[in-house]
Amino acid sequence: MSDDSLVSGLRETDQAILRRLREWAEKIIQTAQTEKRVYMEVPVRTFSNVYYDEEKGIIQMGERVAKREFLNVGHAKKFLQTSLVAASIKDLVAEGITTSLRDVYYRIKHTIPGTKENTVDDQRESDKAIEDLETMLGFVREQMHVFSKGGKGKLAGPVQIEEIVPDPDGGKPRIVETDGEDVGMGGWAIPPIAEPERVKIKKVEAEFVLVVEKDAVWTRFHEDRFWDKHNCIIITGSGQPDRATRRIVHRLHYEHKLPVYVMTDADPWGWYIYSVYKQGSINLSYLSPTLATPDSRFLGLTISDYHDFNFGKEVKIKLTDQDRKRLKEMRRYPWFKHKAWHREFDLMEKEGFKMELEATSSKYFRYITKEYTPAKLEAKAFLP
Amino acid sequence: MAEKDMFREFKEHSVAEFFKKNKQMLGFSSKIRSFTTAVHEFVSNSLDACEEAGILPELYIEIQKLGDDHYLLKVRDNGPGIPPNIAPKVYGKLLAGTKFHRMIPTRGQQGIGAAGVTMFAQMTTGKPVHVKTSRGDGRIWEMDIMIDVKRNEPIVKNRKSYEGNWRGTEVVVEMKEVTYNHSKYSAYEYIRRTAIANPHAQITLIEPDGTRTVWYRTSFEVIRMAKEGKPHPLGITVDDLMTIAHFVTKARKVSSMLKNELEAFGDKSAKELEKLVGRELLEKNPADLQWHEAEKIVNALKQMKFRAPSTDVLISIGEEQIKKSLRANLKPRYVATVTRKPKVYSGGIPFLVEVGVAMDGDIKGFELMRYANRAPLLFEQGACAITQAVQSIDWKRYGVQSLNEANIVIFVNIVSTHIPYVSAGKQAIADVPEVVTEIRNALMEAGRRIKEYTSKVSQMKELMAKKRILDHYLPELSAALARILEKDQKEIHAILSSALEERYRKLKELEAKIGAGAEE
Repeated sequence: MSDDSLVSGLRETDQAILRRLREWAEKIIQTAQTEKRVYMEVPVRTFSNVYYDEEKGIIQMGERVAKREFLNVGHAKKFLQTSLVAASIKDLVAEGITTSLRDVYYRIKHTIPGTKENTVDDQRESDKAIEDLETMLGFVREQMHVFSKGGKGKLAGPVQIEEIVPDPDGGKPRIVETDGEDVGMGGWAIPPIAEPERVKIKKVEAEFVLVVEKDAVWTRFHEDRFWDKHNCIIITGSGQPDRATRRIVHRLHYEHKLPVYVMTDADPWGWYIYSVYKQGSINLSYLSPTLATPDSRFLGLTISDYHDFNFGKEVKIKLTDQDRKRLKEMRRYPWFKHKAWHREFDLMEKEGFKMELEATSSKYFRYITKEYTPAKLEAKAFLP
Repeated sequence: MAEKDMFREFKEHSVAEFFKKNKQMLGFSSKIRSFTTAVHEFVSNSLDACEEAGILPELYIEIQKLGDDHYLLKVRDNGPGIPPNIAPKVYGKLLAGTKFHRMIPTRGQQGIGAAGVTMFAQMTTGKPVHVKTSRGDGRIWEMDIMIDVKRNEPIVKNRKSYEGNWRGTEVVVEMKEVTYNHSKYSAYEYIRRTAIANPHAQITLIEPDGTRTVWYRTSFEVIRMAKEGKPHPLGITVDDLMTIAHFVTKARKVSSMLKNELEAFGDKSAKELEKLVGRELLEKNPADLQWHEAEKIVNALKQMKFRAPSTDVLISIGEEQIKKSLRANLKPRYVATVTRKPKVYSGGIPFLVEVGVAMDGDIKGFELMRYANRAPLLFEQGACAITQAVQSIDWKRYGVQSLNEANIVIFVNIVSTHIPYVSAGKQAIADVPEVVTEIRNALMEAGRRIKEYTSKVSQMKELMAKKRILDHYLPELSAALARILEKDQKEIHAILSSALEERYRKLKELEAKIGAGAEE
């Protein structure tokens, strides 16, 4: 693919967004004239409109749509906020600027003339408006030039990446190439926007993707050149992964057919993070089709591993009441309805302890990269 | 002074002395109240007479100022007229008695009677009252009437009769030490409230400055004449019994007096009473009955059992008529009215309560209108059970945050053959538990209805207030959409604003509908 076609891809999406925004605004004006009502139709994003799509293996958003009416005083403020954010997005896209959610918040925040009221008082309000626009317009905010904090995700391994960096001053976008094997200790920082318009995954020689929950454990794998020895790409989202990290995992799987294995602590929170990579989250259910990787497999840790690998009892951490409560909730999630998982839940509950990835160092520092992980990969001992 | 003492004095002293000493209690106290009392006596006589004769009342009241604290009052009605031989008694004999023992819920119960006005006029101006009356038989009678204060008998002067086609009674009286204004104790207020509680009457008032006010009737129903009943033994008071014994009965013995004059009191009751009070007392001549003896009988009666009193003598105004009248006279936005079923208090006295609650519209502030048998009670508001009942209601439950800050008129009419007054002044209802409970029940029933209205109003108010916010949002929204569409902001604003105005219009229409007919 030539540089020009990469750049034109970005322009095409931008043009499509501007068109879609115009249609969206026109519809508001049209219905105001014909129906004497001022409304927008916002897909419902509450838990009640979220379901587990068993066939696809992802959490999906339902069909329900709510009318947000400007003339309904209860909706008016949100309506205004959504429109102000939409106008800001129009400016961003038209001018080719990329900015953060926080910037958008400050951009639209001001006192409404004639009142003592602010357009927004809390960033959560503008964030929600953006999420509403994503569902209404059918573009994710990253495509609309808006990112969150970002910088949580890291990657290393045999993969060639190209980033397209737009120039707000109207110049030609820069193209930055990265070789995933030629990165420092910090790896390649996954940029906050990992959409195909911005990030091209070019050459992939790796055979699988290994996602490591924790940043520190990932560093162990990186320093040990695990990616070289096992021909894989190692990724971490530093805990709860941001959208871009999930997007990259998703794209490596779908664009390059790489199997995805996930490693987390053996505790309810770690296991939930696995499910976020795999099925998506309840909050961002509408993004599951582009963020989730339902074919992911769980490599470890499990309570069974504790026994199988003969860890000493000093690595055990007693379950808290909160852990037990969370475990109970997880049992009810349809996407955890596998016998294998329920056996692990039972085991954890019965034995009453959890265990961290770092606990593998109780044997010796490099135990996780030298023995534990290779053994699990070799045995294909994965949970669904 | 207790009623007991007042009674004794009336027997022992001349009428003039009696009147002077009891002026306060008879309603002739302050300048303003004296005038109100005079109006009350004449107006209630007129209305009572019309009702008994089945006539739709038409009253003409004229007030002229003759000097400082010096007024002329003229009251004319289209009633049945007074026979020329009876008229002197009506205006020239105090406590003539006719309406003191009758078991009809009349307005006149409240006062001392028209002769009291004659007495007052006579004392302050030395002049008689002038009466003109005709029964519609082609002959009109006119006379001047005074009271012979020593004998409590009428003195008639300038009596004349002539032919004429007219029916009714007109009385003209000149009084000093009175005053007229529009204060809440005034004759004006009395007439206004009378008009409200008597929607079948048309009342014309000419005030000293020539102002003419007509309260047109909103009801064309002739008030049915009450069936006259006898007092029930359980409801009778010592005062009643004394009046009956001394002024009414023709019986020679107390026992036969009781049989003749009381309801549900027969031979069997007489025998039972004899066991309680002794034979001697029952053998006594009623004319010699003493207060303490009457008291003994009344207390004994309370321990006995009697057939329940009949309640069909009670004449209510009715929910519909109160509603119409409050609407016409107060121009409120909402009215709820309740007429309760008759109840009995003290085991024997039938009564019923009706209330109206009118809100907003032309009503400004809080006003409590108290009535006994449709006659307004203007004085002693604080001592009245109606006031206590109204204050004991938790109005917040019905969407009225504070009575004193609301625009609300509360109308309460107590109908009874014997209104339980606090004192001889007869301006405040006593806090008889059964009566208070009924007033409360009626108010709460009305309250539940106004709740629907008040909640709609507050909802709408809230909505309208919030809608004003939209006016401020609109330019912001227009600018945002104009930016996306790259169009002129004014154009977008015009479109959105017209949708907004459309919505406002519908809301305003909806708001206008609240109250009007909402209670139907």
